[in-house]
Amino acid sequence: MKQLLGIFPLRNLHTGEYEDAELYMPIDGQNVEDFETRWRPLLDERKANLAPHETTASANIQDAHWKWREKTATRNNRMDYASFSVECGGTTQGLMFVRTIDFARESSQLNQFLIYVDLVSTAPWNRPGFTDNRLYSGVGPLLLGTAINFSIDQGFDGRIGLHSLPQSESWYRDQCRMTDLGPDANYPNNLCYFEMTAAQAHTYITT
Amino acid sequence: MKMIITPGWLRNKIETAPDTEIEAGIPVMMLESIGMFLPRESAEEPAEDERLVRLKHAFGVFIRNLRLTRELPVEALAECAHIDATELYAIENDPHYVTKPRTVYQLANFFGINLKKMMELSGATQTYDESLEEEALKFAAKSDGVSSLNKEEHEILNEYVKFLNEH
Amino acid sequence: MTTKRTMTLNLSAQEMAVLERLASEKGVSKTGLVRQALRLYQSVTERLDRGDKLFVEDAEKEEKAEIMVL
Repeated sequence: MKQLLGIFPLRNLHTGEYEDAELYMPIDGQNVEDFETRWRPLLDERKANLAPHETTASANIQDAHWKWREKTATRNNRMDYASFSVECGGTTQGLMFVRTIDFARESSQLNQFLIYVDLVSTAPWNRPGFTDNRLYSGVGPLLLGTAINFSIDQGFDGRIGLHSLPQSESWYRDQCRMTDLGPDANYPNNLCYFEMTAAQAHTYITT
Repeated sequence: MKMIITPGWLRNKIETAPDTEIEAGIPVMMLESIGMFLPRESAEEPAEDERLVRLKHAFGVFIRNLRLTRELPVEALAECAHIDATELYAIENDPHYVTKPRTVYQLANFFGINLKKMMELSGATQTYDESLEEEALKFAAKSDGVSSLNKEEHEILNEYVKFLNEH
Repeated sequence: MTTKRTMTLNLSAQEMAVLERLASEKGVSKTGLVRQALRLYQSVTERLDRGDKLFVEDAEKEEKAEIMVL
């Protein structure tokens, strides 16, 4: 059963007001339902509009879709994974899966345990790259802060690692001040790997 | 889990360092549409026909000319765009080189070029757009490959950028 | 993950020395290291149950050896 970790404010960019959002662990069936019925249609629609001629490639791509329902069902029984959701305005605004048995790569904390953010994603209506009329601001910092909080809770001093999507690199590098360890040749599509040291994590959650 | 982060902390973050794009991990469907997440095997080993080699040659010339207009050495551009200098050298000089999607993204972002068109030009995604190919080949043919661009080459480059961004 | 239970763990001097060394190297407490070991063991066991195999690779010789997990 999911546990309420806390109530946090998200800024509704349409009204300018703050609204109470709930932070939960783990991701549950309702979150998956929200993804399938509210996020996915928007993502699919945008995809169709962006690439009308890429039908063959798109068909292949379908297999690569994140299988939220299946992953959630299997991972919720595992101790090497944890998951979190942010709910606000009656639906899921952000989702995150983390892994708990990974080792750090950055030289000052090499081989120490860290929390690896396996996947973090916000609802499409909250993404600047998706819409000019975003709904909520704050989901990203809340989920990243949660990953750091979880790392401290697990005795890992706030150390976290993740592979950033290209459009998010500057946020992790410049706003979150994570260490950029460059493109990872062993990760699909050579995404850039970022790591947060204990000191960087402390700065992030105290400022 | 004992919470350390507080509502006040988050409110401060929202007001002082607003979040932009935060997606991490794979796959995120938005990027699949521009070929960022083709299955690994097809992304790494596209069928290399003559047409694709010509397109990739044009892509290499295009990147080189864009770099020259900014008067940037290979290493400097690599640093600015957060990519590997060896890969940039390969893009400019080896039409058989398979450019990684992330690199195309970084270059498109740095130069302000339509990402989807750049993906097609680099061979990272398949294209059926004949005009893109035609214009790319015309563009590459008009470039003489010396280390600086003359006025005419500048104009051709600007026209081609316009074509990619408006087409 | 919320309700915790306590148990006493009896270790030999050698086992305790290894636990202390690894906990220090991995940046966690001794309890944290035991917890991590359990997570890893569960993860590996589940994969083996699915029919996966576990290998270690010699980086220099590029040789792979299968690990038998009981």
